[in-house]
Amino acid sequence: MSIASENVSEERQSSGNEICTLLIAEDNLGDFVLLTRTLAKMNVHCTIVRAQNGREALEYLERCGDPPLNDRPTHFILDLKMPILGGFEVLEWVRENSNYKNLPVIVLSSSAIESDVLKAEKLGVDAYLVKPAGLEELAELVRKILAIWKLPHKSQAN
Amino acid sequence: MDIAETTIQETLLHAAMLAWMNDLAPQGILVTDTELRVRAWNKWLEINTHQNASQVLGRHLSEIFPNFDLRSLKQYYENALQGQASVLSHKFHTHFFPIPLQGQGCFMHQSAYIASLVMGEQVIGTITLIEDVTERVAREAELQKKAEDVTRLLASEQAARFLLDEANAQLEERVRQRTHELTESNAALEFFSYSISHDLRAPIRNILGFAQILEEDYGATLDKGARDSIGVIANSARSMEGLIQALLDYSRLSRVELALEPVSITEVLGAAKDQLTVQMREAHAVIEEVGELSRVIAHKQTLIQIFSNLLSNAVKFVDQNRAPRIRISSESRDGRIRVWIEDNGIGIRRQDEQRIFEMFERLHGPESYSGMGIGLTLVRKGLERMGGCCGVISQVGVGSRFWIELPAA
Repeated sequence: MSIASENVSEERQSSGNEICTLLIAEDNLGDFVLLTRTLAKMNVHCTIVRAQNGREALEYLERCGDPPLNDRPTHFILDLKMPILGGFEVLEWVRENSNYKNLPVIVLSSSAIESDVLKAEKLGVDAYLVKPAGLEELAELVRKILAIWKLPHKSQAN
Repeated sequence: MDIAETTIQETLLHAAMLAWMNDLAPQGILVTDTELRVRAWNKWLEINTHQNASQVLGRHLSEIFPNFDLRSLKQYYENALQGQASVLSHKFHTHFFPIPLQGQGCFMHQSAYIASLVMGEQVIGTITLIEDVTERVAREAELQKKAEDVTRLLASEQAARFLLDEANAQLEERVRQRTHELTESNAALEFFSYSISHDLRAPIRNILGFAQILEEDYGATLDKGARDSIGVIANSARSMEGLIQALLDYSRLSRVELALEPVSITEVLGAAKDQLTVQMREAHAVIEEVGELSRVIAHKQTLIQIFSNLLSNAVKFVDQNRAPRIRISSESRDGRIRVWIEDNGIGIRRQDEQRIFEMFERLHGPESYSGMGIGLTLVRKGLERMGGCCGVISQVGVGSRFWIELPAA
């Protein structure tokens, strides 16, 4: 895999005939790379689209909204604290948009401040997960995500 | 009784009445002719004015009353001669006849009644009744004073109430202000914590993650020195992450209101184990729950954190060639539940048993960061906030028996 450069806002990882498109709104490039690397290591097959902030995420969602394009996201991993437009604004927009109101969303944030968790749950998310430090912990996080979403993946050998 | 008898009796009664009026009446009675010359001056007047009837009879009123004209007394008598009676209230003519009161340094208060004496159709003189109203005035003055006192008292009570209200309002305002300030500083603290948790942790996640990637992807091609350096970077990042988490937890614990509710220890233990999945798997730790674990009154998230810290310590502080074995049990003690967390770790020296719960609060040097200090300080703080307590009994080289105590649900 390659690392997305700062001025390319969307990066696609394609590995054939996958049926899922995962939109990841994440401003921190390192976090994005660590997550997608772990997804790849765990053989998760999906097209990954990166939005560097909330506005890019909205623009992307709008573009493939109506009529639906092939790479319309089927799943959405959303960071909360992002420049230009934050995660909650994106989530609100998504829940009010007829094309996306049922889009599965997982919030992936640096912290689990109670008010944030409650707000996210109120708007409707499949999970509120905290970004861990460390590759092992990241693998654990991805296992949690896979337990919630049936993303196409091959089980690891071990 | 015949007419003569009746007449005699009437005459006698008249005479008696006159005698009474002259000698015994408790008022001054003064009679003048139409010239306003004194024609009758009773005993009361003699006694009170110290002037005998013989001294004043036949004299004009102006010779007897000082300032007769000035005080417009003349007017009243002339009115009386016209058949018009006057009442001179003591309120306007305090001393109708100036009579000093003995030993009191003041004058007698009087009221006077001036009327005409009429025979047939003709006015033949005047009669004046003078009454001593000193006592009445004094009584009235006293009543007046009392009324004034009451008014003053009411006024001062009103003033007091006003001041009290004012003070109350000020107090309320100050409380409001203080609350506002506290809320603000609380919000500022919360924002600070929020910023720390987001902005400070992101680079650490990346340092740790990428150090590990280096090791995973290029470790084989690097020499030992390079690999060791990567290890130091990773470990430092890990301890930094742990420290930030502990600081956040601690500051949160200190300021957030904890809503207490019945909590299942089993459930809380499960959540705490979830948080430590990786650590426990790596260490091959085994946790054994002994018997039915009771329910307690606590704040669930805080209790999860407390168990997570205690379990993490139990997993961390074990002799390298031993797998951590942790035993959880609970017992009832006077309406409280004591939960035991027993490990087979390295143990704590007797003299350090109390200190380990306090290290974080008085930490100064960087050496204090490492070890169990932070986690256990959080444990104690959390329990304190929930009305509980904790302790440890330990034997070096054998293991520690930590306990926490909370109200039973």
